[in-house]
Amino acid sequence: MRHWFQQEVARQGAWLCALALAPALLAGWLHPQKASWDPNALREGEVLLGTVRGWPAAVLWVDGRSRKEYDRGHLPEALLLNEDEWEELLDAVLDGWSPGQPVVVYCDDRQCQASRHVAERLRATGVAPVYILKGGWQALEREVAQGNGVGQDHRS
Amino acid sequence: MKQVLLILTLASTHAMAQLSWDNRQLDFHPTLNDTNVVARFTYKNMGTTVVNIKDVKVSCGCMAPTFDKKALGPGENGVMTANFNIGQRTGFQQSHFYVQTDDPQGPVTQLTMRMYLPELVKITPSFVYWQVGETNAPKTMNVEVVYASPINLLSVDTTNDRVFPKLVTIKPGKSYQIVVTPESTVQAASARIKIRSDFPKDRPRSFSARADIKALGGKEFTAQERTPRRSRATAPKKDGGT
Repeated sequence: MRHWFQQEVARQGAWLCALALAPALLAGWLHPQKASWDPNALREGEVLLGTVRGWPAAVLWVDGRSRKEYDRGHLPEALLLNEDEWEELLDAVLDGWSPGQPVVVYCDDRQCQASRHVAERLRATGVAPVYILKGGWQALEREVAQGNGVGQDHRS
Repeated sequence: MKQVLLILTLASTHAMAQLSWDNRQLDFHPTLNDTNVVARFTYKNMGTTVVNIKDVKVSCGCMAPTFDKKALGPGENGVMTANFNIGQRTGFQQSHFYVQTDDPQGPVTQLTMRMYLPELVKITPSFVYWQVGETNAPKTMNVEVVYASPINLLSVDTTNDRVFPKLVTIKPGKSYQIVVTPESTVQAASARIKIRSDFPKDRPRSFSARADIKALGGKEFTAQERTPRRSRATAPKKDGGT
């Protein structure tokens, strides 16, 4: 009797696992916001800070956060551009940009969508290429704390 | 099979979080006159012990949601309110909230706020440029009305009298072009182009575009400029980081 019960528990447990596994695999494969196993995996338009540091050309840094966050701390060469004050801030970015110069937008952290919106709108104006910094402001702060250069000042 | 279903039901009941949200996703369609969108997510403690809301993270950094009650006894209700400032945003916007509680069965709940903000026109590109010395051939901006009602573009003005924008009607109320020609490209210049419309009737809107003649020289990325330069971040103030 006991043996039968153990077998039945194992059998039903296996059923439950199989039932749970199918939707889990589907979600892991198809979910639009699925997590990546690779911390360096890039979403479309993203670039790693290490890659930017290796670029030969000067970069135009754009801070896509709110003015309040920008005022708390930012890259000295970064220009503020957000959707709260788009019309007022865009002119300074277009003034500072040179044809062909890479633009890198950073935001709060990995979950911040502001940099994505800013990058999309900036591309729509005709500015290219425009990238989004993976890891955002937190990645820049870490680099600075480690004493590494984070980019090239575009205001040569 | 009946036994499997019974166990599955029991297991899912056991795994159910104590905090129950009426809606995990709210959709909004604000009008042209709206300046903000307020989302109210209501929740209830369906369990038998107190649940504490510990933290909430927002995907856009543009909102700071508030809770009318963070410690909920069994059966108690609460409301999380998020105020989204539309600012100069247009089109589809989506924000996620990650609400963290001390409920071991459902420590983090994702809530979503989707907004379909009115957009009147799309100008592509809204920025055209020539380099100094380049031939001053005309460049075209396409203006498509993406709003439900037709919008007539009436005129274009420029802030620089050496850059000439011309409005061309392709399909009245729907599709236009702005053809921009600089008088010359001998020296750097910048012009803001203002496009006047007849919509809405009470306070007609204007749209902006820009045309530049970009200087050569310092922005050519010469050998010296390609040498990486060190830059520093400004130190965050002591009252907190971002």
